[in-house]
Amino acid sequence: MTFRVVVHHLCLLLFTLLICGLLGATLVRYAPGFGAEERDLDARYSAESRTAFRLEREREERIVPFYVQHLFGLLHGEFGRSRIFDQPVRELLADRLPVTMRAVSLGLLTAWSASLLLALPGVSRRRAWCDMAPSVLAGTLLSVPAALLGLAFFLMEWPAWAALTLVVFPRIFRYVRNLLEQSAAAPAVLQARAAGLREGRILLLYVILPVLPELLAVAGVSAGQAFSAAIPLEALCGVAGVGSLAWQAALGRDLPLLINVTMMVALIVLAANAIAEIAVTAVHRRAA
Amino acid sequence: MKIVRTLAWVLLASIFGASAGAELLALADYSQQFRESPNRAPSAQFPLGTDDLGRDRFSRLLYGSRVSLFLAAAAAALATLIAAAVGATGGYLGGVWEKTAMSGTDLVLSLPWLFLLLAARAALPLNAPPLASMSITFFLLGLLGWAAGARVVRAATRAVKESEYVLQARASGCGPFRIIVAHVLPNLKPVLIAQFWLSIPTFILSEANLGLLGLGVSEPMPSLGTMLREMESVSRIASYPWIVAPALLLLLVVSCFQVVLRGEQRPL
Amino acid sequence: MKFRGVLVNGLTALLVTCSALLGQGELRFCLRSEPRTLNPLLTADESSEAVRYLTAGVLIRMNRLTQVLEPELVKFWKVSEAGRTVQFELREGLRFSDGTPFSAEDVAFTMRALMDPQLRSPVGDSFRSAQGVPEVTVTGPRSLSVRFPSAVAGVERLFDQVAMLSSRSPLKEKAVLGPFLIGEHKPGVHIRLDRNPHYWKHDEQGRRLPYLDSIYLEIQQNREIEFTKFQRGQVHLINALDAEQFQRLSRESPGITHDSGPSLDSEMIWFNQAPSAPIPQFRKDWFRSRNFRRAVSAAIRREDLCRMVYLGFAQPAAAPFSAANRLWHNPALRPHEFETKAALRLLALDGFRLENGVLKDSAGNRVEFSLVTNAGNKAREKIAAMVQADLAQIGIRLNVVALDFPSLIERISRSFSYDACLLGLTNVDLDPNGQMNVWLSSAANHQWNPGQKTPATSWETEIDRLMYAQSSELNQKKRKASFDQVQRIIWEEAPMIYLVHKNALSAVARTVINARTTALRPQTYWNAERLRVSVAAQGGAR
Repeated sequence: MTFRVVVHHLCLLLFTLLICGLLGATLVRYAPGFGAEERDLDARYSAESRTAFRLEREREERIVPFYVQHLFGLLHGEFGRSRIFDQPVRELLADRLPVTMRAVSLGLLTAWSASLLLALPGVSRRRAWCDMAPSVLAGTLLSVPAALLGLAFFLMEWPAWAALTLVVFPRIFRYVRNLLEQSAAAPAVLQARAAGLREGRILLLYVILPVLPELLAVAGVSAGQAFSAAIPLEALCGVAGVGSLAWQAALGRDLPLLINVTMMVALIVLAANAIAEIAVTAVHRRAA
Repeated sequence: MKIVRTLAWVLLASIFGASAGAELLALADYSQQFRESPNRAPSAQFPLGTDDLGRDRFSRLLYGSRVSLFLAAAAAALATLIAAAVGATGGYLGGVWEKTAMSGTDLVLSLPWLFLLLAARAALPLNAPPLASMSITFFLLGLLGWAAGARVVRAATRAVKESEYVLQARASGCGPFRIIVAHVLPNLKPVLIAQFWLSIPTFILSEANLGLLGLGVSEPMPSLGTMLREMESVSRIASYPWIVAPALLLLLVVSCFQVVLRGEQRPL
Repeated sequence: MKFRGVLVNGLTALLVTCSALLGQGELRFCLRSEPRTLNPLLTADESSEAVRYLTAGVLIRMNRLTQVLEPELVKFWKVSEAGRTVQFELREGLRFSDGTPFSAEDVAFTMRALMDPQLRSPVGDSFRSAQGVPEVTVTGPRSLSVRFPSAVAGVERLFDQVAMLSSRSPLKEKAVLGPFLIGEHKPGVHIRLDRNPHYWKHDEQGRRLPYLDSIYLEIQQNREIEFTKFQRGQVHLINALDAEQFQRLSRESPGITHDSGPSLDSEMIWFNQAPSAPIPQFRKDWFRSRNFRRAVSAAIRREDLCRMVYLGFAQPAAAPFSAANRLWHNPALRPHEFETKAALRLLALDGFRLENGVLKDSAGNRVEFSLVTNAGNKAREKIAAMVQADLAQIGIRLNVVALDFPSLIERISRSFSYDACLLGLTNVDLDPNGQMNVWLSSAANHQWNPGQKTPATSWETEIDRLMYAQSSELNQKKRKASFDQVQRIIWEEAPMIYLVHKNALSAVARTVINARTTALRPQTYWNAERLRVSVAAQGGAR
């Protein structure tokens, strides 16, 4: 049964991924400025070179043949060549992905730990300051530009993933806190307290467990959010990760690079959500 | 706690009121350049000092917060509404509906929508009023910013769907639409409130980042986002600490919303 | 114990002095983007040019300080056949970084590679003309001649940008003749350049150059981080500081900042005069009017732009070449005077009238148009806002629209769907021949009305004539007179309204020895082979 669920999710993931790649390429292709390059303004190039550049870009303009060709390339391990960096996309991603993945993983782990640690006292102790202090912290972090956070961390010589933690934390914390608060208000929690159960047991069995599916859904979504947050953070703070690569690719309308980055982000988002889904199904089945 | 809520309401009303009546409160036109007084410190003439071009920061904050807060709140409401509709419908109906809704959500989460925003800006005439282009930017942010919330709403809906009161409602002949509106959505308030609360500052800061691509507000109109962008230089904050005023205002608004919405959530 | 302490201190001081004299050390600075290519023949962007400048050997080098061409890999060169042929005599005993000898065959190989039409090299395109490509004839192991299909004035300056490649080295373009070679490249993070052990130059004491062991180029887009790293001593120089950082640094550490005066860069506005532009006819009529353009120019307070946007570190501009270009600057031209009344008088000549603070044309259309510029450039956004306020004084409503760069390029070079554009021009080449593609009416970069089959106006016909005349004239005085006249026509007709030339501002740490900054690129490390970093202060660059 679980095997069927996994296969089903894999098929859906692959299908969505293919659609995502095509739609992403279409969006880039029809965005203004596609085919326009900085070298169009370089007075040193001759008319022949300009025409050649234009013809070269025109090959990418017919999006379906381009996409099909790209997919065939992917099957053979060919990711295409970046226009703006004049390097194989595979090499670029291989260089940059570890930097971003490390920052995203550590950032997510820390943000989730902080969210749970700060949300649980608020719902269990029901004291205003226990709830207010982390809420104000989350509000503050939401109100500060990501670039400033990144810059401040650089000045303090703290790692980039820590800045990402602060960007992602308020987004996770708000959902977690609200879900746990709702769960903690259930009559079962009151009964458990009246029965004299230990607070840790109450939190785990009566507060966290009932909302575990929702928390897992937030976890799935937060992976994509962390990745999205990494893009402006890396781009504005000059970190050499996939985020800054994506930003530069967007500014340069670098279709081969963008299509790969889009599919990679999609794969991460889809995989995270699929894992969350499978976990939710398992939790439901266990509860049933 | 009631006092805090009342205070939050008063503050929110004051901030929104002040920005709505910016014409009455502003000491100078937001676009007027006092070229002999660039980067002035706060004074009686300029309560929050002046910017690089000698424009009164206080007036710009009033006008900027009017544009940003109203549009961001509207976009946040739109995003929350879509998240509720997609998440609750998918979660409640299940089957193909659910799969389609969640695949759509995944697509929205993964695609580079930036290019849609660029295309929308390109479709507008260059001489379009700045407010029109900014409204479209916020509208699109609202239209595309629902996906994360929808996934959580859908997960919560599945839990609610199995509850006894929904079972009772179904047994008493209620249709799916009625059950979703009357029984499911009210129980999803924690998730929906989180979505709304998060969206306001996120959209305001997104507008600031989109300004780097020309998708923000155009000169001379101010916005909270463009004013927040000035904070991207730490040394500038050290030289002109009063430039953090927009961030403090945003923090105040976000905190007040939180208190107010928390109060709304409690009776459940 | 005391004696030992004195001895240790003395030895340390001696070591420091010796190391400073021997000049070991690593120079560190930031590149603002990843180099687009490391192939020296394809270099087009600033970061790639920095790497090429530091690694490539060229036949002739323009001294960035004196602006005079000097022999580099050649003993001498001679221009003959009325400017059609350049003969070179190479230095003896030169070797590439891998030890492969350098000969005239390598020059011929490089020129053939450069002229390959499939390569699409900007430098190669500069050599090419409608009449054909230059021919290279090797006349001896160290002598050769390059013959051009037609006479081109000042063509030898182009060799400053031609990196010599080896025809025999297995390392191909990685074998270099410049002072440094690429040691390590981590895309997006850094490039480390190591000393070329076979570099041919020696100092006055006969010591082989370069002094530095290596140069560490950190790729860093964020200027704030670059600035902080400089303050912390983690990088030794900043090539182009913005005015605010320059002012702050000058206040905090006087003596490490350098203002080299006006740079070659300029900021300007032009109106869209392309006949195919999808804009209303009445607007095209405004933009084609000389009086309208001059009125707009007269309504802009250039002094304010210099004072407020560049904090005084800029000069009001009159023409394409600033005073930084010693040979081609036209000092007779003064920036258009700010005078609102004069602007309104000029507008009245074309039937414009001011009604209740609103300017209207003779048909009653309100004078309103958009000004596009690239988003994210803070200085340019400020200039646009100030011009907007200035034009409001004569009743013109200006809508400022910041676009991302590709969208902007598409509008100004393909769809022509815009009214006016504010952009900066970066001059790399000092010679006016480098701007043929800008000033000739048939050229693609003739921004206000590109690709004309025949010149649309009499003054553009005259510019075409003068540009062709100066490009084939070998007499420098006559060339200067022709180009001065081109600049005067541009000043009078204002197809491009020049606003400011910003100053070349840079910072060099005290630990860097022999640094002399200039207004020309690369401002701080143009004499990289002679730079030294005091080892004693490696940890703290300032």
